[in-house]
Amino acid sequence: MVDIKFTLSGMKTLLITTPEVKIKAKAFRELVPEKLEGWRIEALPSWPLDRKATIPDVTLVQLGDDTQSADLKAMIPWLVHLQAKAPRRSYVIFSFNAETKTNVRVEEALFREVAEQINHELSSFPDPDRVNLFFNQGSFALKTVLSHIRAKLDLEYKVPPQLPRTSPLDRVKEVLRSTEDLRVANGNLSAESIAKAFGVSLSQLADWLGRTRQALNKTPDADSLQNQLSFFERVARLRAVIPSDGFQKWLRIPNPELDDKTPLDLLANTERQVVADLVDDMLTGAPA
Amino acid sequence: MKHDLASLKAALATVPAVKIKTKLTRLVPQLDLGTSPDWLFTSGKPNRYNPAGVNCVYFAELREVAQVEYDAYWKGTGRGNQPVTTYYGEVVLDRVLDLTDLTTLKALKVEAKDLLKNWRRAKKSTLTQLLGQSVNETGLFSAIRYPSKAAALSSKAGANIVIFRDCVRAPDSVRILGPTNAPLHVWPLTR
Repeated sequence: MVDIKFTLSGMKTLLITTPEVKIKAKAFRELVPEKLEGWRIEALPSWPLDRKATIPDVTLVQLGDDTQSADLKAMIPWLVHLQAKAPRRSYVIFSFNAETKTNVRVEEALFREVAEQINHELSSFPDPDRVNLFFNQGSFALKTVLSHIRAKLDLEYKVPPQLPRTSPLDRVKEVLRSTEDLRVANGNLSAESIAKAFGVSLSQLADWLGRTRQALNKTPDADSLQNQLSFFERVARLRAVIPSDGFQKWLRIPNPELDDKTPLDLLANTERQVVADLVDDMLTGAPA
Repeated sequence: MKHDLASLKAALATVPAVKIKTKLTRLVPQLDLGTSPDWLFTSGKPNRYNPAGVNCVYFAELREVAQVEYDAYWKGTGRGNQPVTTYYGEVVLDRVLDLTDLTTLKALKVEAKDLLKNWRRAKKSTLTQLLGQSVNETGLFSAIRYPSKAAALSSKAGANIVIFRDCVRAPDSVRILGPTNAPLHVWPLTR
């Protein structure tokens, strides 16, 4: 049952796992001694991770003083696989739980060794920025870390993407050639050329991008504009198969796929990815 | 009826699967796609039956339906009579969720009209996207057969199929047909 307090993005999923063959109930209870509100928790040893159909938001790998280096190494490909399959970004946290009775120096040496091994494997992960080390000092520390990650995950729902998502057409030369005229010599997209291709004034485009006309006029190919202009480049790829005047006409015709808004209406606000996706589907023939 | 992921997943477990062994079609505007385009490329881009991040491919069940889908996109652009590239996927799928079957819709408590609603501007996952996500996450089915909206708008009957990459397991297969007996691309992927 979904907790209504978490309607923004629903319950988050936390997978607790370990390099060991079996996950110890006692260790699990020590790690998560109380209910974590807003989290659906699952505990699994490492070996069935490749068969998991649901990708967790966070995978917590429990390590201890008895963790074997070879077991950890064997587990890394499954963790990489989980992060690669994640529909959204997925965190992997290695939590080092040393026995309190262990000598502090021994504990530090063990942690350092594990940390170095993880650092060494970092480049295998598709999103190494979201692989973290955590020295677990009790449930409060864990709750704080998870709360911080929840806040970051929720942000992904609120903040529009900074760049268009990848497309199968990113590698198709003929498509890329169709937007070469939008770029200047250094490869940057030019607001001036984009305004012309879309049949709008530079002032109009500046307004859509939240800039002044003067700023756009001064540096139409500024680095700071490139992310936003990339969405327009995606849309302009349609010119690979229709002439420029047909493209400008298409931009201004209410489109049933877009709830009868025109593509230009959506480009003017924050729904640029929607139009870019539509163009992508048209050029790749994906039935909708 | 308000649906959520959990209720859809539970309902999926009660729905029978159908088997499909056929040749699916997709039409693409004629472009120089290079020497070895990946015909089964998945970007995880959202579509009618998948939210962002779910890897799948869409095909029309028949050549005629693929044509209707294509025409719907390009209506009014003057591209209608220009050359197209057609490619085919030969599929053997043992576990397909058939949303053209009224009994299945009833079991899922879904109305046929809900399957044809617009999805592109939705602020959260639509019912059809939740259905696809449920299929992908449970692995109970490897594909969904669903009514083509473009065909329905043209007063024709027709179906499309979305195939979920991570749910295609042997003996299921998707083979993109090429000029020789060897397929151009194949699912399931081998490690």
